[in-house]
Amino acid sequence: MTLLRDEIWADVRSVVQEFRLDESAASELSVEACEIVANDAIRRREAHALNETGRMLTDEDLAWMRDQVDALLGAGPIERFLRRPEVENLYVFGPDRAALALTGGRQEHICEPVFAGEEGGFNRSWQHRLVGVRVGVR
Amino acid sequence: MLAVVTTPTTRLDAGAVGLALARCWSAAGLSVLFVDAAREGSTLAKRVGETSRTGFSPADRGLPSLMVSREEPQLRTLANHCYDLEVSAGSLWALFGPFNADAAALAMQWLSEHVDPMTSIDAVRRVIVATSLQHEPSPLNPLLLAAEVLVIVAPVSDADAARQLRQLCADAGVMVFGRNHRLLVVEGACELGDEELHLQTELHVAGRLPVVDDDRMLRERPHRRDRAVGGELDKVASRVSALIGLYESERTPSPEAAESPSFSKLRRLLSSLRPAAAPPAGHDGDDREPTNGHAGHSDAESTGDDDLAAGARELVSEGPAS
Repeated sequence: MTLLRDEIWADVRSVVQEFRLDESAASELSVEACEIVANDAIRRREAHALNETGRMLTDEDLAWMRDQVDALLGAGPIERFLRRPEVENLYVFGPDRAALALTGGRQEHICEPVFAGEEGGFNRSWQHRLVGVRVGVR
Repeated sequence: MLAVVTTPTTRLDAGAVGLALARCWSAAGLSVLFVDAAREGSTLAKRVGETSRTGFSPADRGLPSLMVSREEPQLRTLANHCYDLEVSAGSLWALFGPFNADAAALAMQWLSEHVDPMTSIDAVRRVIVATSLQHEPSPLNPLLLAAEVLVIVAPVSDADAARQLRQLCADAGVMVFGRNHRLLVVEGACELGDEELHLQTELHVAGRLPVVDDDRMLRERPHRRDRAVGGELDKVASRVSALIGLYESERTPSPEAAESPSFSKLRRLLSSLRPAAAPPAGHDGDDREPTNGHAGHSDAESTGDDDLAAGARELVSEGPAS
């Protein structure tokens, strides 16, 4: 049986891709605009699923969905570090090792996967960079 | 806050009656929020849409869309999740319930977890919640018990039916002493007078409605033959308004509070409803159910606003039935 989050994500991904390919929206194409479209699509599809089948996303599903949106629009797992305002630089030493340079000269070491696995998270983020979205540190 | 509930044997849908009462209040200039909390999944949005030839989807605007937004139900939030129904005066927001039965159960649970925000909203926009009773406590009971007035719409043809209704209310957990005022709207013919009904059910009779189909109740502009229904609804609406107004003044007995905007508005509502409530002389509607002619539902016809308010004051002074 397909999970609700998979059903919703399949729809949302196509909605976001259509939005990005839509030339009329080119002038407003940005990560923020894509996020708004993605979040709106998630809410609408969840509301329809709830109304018609009584199913809702759990907190875990929502976190998973957040990761998928980050992987699609941002830099994948490292996106959550890039969102932190105190992060100035991010040094990647390997697939499971990185270090954050924080404001005030502080450092924070990371020992967890910083890229998505073979399923395509990294590839998707790389593809996203190719269409011109800047992912970087301050 | 007003809660409108039906029993399993009521032919009218609680949503249809609740929405009709909401229309009465908004037509008198009040701002109203109608909440459709159907127990088994709601078809109200579809039926109202068919009646008004407008598409209403609870997934776009309704309890499902509000629930998935994960926001607190505040007035500003509700503006994005309610349909603003067309009314001649005032304002009427409708928060329709989900179609699916499982979703309806989740919606009831969600509403019961947001009693305080709903009560806060009621201070600026009258909240009417519609649902149905069964022989077991509902997840919605915290919200039902938070309402100042609980209106139970039920067919009560005789003393046996009255006793069964009393038992149903007890089983459903809504007969809690001191929580709210409970009113009965009798659907269809009844051989008992108001006093006898009160003795048997511990509910005060607020009015009597003929048996009609929901579609007639949902019409925005009633046909000529529906005027009797509209008149009875107006009476119920005005009695409930009087009771809520007096209940508020009882809770805040200072002279300033007695003249609070909310109370003054309800007084004006009473005045504005009364002339519209009386159906044209000699026109009782062609398919109105016969009633027993007891004075209960017709006493309001022969009395003015002051008498109506006095009657409601009497109900307040008696206190809620145990």
